[in-house]
Amino acid sequence: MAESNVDLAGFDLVAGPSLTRWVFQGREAAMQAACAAAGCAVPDMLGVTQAEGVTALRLGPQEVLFLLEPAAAQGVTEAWASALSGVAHSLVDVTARQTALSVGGARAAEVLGCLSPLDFAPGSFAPGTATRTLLDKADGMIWRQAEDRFHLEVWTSFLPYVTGMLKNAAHDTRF
Amino acid sequence: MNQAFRIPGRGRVNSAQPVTFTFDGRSYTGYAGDTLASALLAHGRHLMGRSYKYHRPRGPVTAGSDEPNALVGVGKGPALHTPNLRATQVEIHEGLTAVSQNRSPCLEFDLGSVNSLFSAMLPAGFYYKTFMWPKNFWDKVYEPIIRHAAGLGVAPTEPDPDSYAFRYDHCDVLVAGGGPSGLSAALAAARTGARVILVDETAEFGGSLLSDRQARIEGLSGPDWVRGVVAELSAMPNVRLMTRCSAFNYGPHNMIALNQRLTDHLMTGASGQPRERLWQVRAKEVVLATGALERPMVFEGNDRPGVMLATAARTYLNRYGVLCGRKVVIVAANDSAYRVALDLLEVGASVAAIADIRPAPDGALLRQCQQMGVRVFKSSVVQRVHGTQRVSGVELAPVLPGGDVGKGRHVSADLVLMAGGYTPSVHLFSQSRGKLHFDEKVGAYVPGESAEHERSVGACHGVYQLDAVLADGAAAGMAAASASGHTGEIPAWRVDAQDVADFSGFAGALPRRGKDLHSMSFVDFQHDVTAKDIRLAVREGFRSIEHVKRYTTTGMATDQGKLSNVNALGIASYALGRPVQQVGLTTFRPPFTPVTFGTFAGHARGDLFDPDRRTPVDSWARAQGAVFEDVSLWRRARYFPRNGEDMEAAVRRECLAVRNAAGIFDASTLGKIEVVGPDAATFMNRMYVNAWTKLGVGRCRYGLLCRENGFIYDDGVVGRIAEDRFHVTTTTGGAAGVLSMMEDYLQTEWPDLDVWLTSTTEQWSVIALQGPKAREILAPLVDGLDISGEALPHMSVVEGSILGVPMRLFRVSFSGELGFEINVPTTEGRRIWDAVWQAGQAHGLTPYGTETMHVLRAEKGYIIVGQETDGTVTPDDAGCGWAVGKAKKDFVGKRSLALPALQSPERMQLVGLLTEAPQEVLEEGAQLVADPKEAIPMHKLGYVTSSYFSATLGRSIALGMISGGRARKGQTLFVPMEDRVIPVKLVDPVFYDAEGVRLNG
Repeated sequence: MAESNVDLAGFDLVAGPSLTRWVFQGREAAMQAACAAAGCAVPDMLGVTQAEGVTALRLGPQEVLFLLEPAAAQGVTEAWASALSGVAHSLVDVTARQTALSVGGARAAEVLGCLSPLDFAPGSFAPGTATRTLLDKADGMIWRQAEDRFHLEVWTSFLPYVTGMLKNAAHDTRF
Repeated sequence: MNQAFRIPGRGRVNSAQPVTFTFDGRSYTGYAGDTLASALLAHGRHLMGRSYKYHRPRGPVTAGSDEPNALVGVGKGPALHTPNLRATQVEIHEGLTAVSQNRSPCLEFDLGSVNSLFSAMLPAGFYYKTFMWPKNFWDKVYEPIIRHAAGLGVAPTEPDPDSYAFRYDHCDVLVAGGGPSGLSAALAAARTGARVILVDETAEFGGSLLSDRQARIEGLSGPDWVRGVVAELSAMPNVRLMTRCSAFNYGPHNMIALNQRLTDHLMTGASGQPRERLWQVRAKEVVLATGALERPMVFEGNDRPGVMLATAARTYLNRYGVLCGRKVVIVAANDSAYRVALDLLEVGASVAAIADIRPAPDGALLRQCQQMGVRVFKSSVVQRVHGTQRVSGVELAPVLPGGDVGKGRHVSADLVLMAGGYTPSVHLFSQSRGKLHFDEKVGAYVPGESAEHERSVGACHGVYQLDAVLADGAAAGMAAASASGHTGEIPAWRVDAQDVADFSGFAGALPRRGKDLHSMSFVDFQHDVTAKDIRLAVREGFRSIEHVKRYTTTGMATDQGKLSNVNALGIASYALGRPVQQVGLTTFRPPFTPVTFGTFAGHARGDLFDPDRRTPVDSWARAQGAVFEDVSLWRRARYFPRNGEDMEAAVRRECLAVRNAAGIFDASTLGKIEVVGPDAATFMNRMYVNAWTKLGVGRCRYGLLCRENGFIYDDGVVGRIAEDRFHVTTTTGGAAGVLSMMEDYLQTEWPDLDVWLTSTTEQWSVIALQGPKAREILAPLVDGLDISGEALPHMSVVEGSILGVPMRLFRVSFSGELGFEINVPTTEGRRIWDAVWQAGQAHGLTPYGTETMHVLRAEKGYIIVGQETDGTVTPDDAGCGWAVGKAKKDFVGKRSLALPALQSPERMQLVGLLTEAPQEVLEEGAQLVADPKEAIPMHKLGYVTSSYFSATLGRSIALGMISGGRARKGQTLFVPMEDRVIPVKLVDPVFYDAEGVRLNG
């Protein structure tokens, strides 16, 4: 449908912040070291912990996605270099791989429910939870920051598709 | 036109709101709340359609979604017309346009009805027997004629202008069906605070209570009680109520698909409103409250307009205020006959006779009918119906002791009602893979053990009496809520008045006088299957009900045998002399009722049909006039035509540019996986056929990945960035599959390895710079990095920067020329591309696409996975045996490669193919034979996998997979084409620079 026909009342969709992204993978001790160096606690599975400029999202048993704000990025990567030296682990820069979307508003959960099979009831997917999911035919990650605010990470080439589908869903959920 | 059969004051339609609509071009009025069927019946019109095979005139037999006869087309125009809708479900609105189907020229006079005259020639399975000769007549003559004569509505021809929505949802308790049991279950569950979804396929909740004038619950009439319950549910935030919403698929793990119809009942929907919404609901617990369907009876002429189910007539009367006929005969096997008789008598209809097949029916309702002067014939059946486009009368006859049928009597009537007993509606339960069992008391299959977190309540599991139904629903609703972690009290309601449940019924064909060889007694109305068809199938040796079903097509229409299943089973059981339980029951398949294609498609159409993945260079390529092709989900530039070039001309120019100067190619779509950890080399050794341990840091190797079966799955260059870090590339289409396969092995086979995988496909933009001038173009850009042949030889990788941007620079070549692949972060991809492009202008740098890339690699004999390979090609077959690490203890596929069959010298092997005529370009896929004069079918030795004109070589080249190909080099084989035979010489697959001088330049 034409863009101008989309009524986005109760739903907003904006580009997310500019971030540096690292996928950390490793066993428990390495994960402790990586999180300590970044200044945050090790998040529980699908949980999120934060420190100044640092967000750690636990996407797998051995995997944490670190989102670093520009001011914190260099300090954290330097801290990792020393803290993880000699420790078996994998750190891969994925800054350019994906893009952040910020989705919010009273209808945000309902709109996301048109693309993702997750249960967005606050009791099932509480603020402070993050997970990989499907956004219709695209892969994505959703971090619920607040009851009506979500941070999405999508591989860049899927962004137009996900954005288009979200706008359609925002339209549909009005009826 | 007046509504002669409308009973003022009866029903739930709004007589203050008349609605005008057309049927077959004629204008009618009805009331808001009417269905198309009820509105037409109010005008005394039963004839609404023609049958599928015999074109018999048909009218509605039901008042709901089980309707097999009254199928109509709704909506104007080639885009909006929807065929095969049930008139019993279509809600009328102002301006609705409906047409009858499968008739020509008109419903009242249908030429196709001559099929009835030949019915003896059109028995079950006739198309298997009659039309087999001559053979080519089947495709060209018989099948088109049959398809034209048989059938239903006409599919729309234009794209659907409507939009369709989709939504996932979750709940604790999903209740399918909003009749008394569903409402009580939903309320019981909802009061505990559980998340409840209640759906009903009709326009309002209440089910049978909306047609029931006797029931009193807590002093309220059925509809009033319903209103109270719905009001309570509506006010709860934890409840979602949806009418016009069908639960049509019961998927594994309680994933239920719902089809919600949003606008079809409206004259105009809100602007931009989707027409329908597909829901996929994951329910912790499911309560099926799908009710029971009254069973038709099988007798001659039971399909004539004016013959319908007793409960349907009751629903038309009490829910819609429509009298279906004034002079009524009822054929009974159940007491519902007497209830409908009393309701009809109350509004002044005449009940001419009730023929009850039971020898000694009894009960208050029967006695009440007799007191009102209704003649009740016990042990009696109907022999046949008179009338064609509308019932005019019936012949009733007694069943004599011993089973024969005695002399009949004629009774005139304009309405014949069938009360054959009830069949629990177990479709969704059957879809859930639950076990059905035959209940002797109910006389039908009812749900047994559930396979899911599911409970069936009320009539769909054989509980018929209202007080029991309400208690059943409430208990199950509470149990479902408890199972999902909620507590509460089971609600109870006092039922002050209700009919006594009657479980009697009849399954099969009614007894007939004589041999019954020719009667048209329908079992499956929608597919025109008669009782004698079922018997014929049994006579011809079909024993299993599944085979009888497929031979006769009974139960295979879109109604899924809702009305026909039990009767077909009864007839087969009788013919086989075996009890019903031993004949079995066919499986019900989704959807419960037909669902529009648009609903399934949702937004997956046009630009959003699939994700349309584009690289950062896409817009540049578009500006350069590139022609694109889809490669998996990616859009890739195929060639860059200049000045009106066709593909052939553009590709020749691009190829020569790369060979003589330099070309630039966007390779960003290649899959990339970062393999990191102390065990990275060990992991690579186990996954790939190659040996990796000795690959030095900063070096690259061509990697081949097999499946367990030893066949090539993917390939790509792998660079060793550090001792513990590999940069793996995959094919564009293979990226996701390779990562999944690697993760699968890592997590399930070797969780002990300290190695981790990260997809970096989109982290890196890849700019391939290929050609003799490549180094000259690149050198000034790479911030002082030494990229000389000594510092960076072929198959090496170095980390550095380009114009200040971090870079991984690969010295690799898929073209056979000196080549680099510049990897930079995707966000910088376009900027660096532009810079390289600018720098290349002085050197004749030319952009090239995938087509040129294919030609260049074919000149070098490099394979493309999926073009030279087809999932049955080993590394050795593809001429890549050198890549296999012989000394390795194991790798994925190693054991299979040791099998004798995979080492046979007869296997298809990669070879080069040269035509005698240099301008002749073979067709890809063409077969090769040794002797073109051999009789067909010839012995095929192999086929062409890649074929191009090579501008570099000034002639055509091709690659092929040929049985024992390597040993045949030098031989000539033949490609037989339709009009000629092309001789082809088998050569080495490397056509160009076999020594690799240019590559290493």
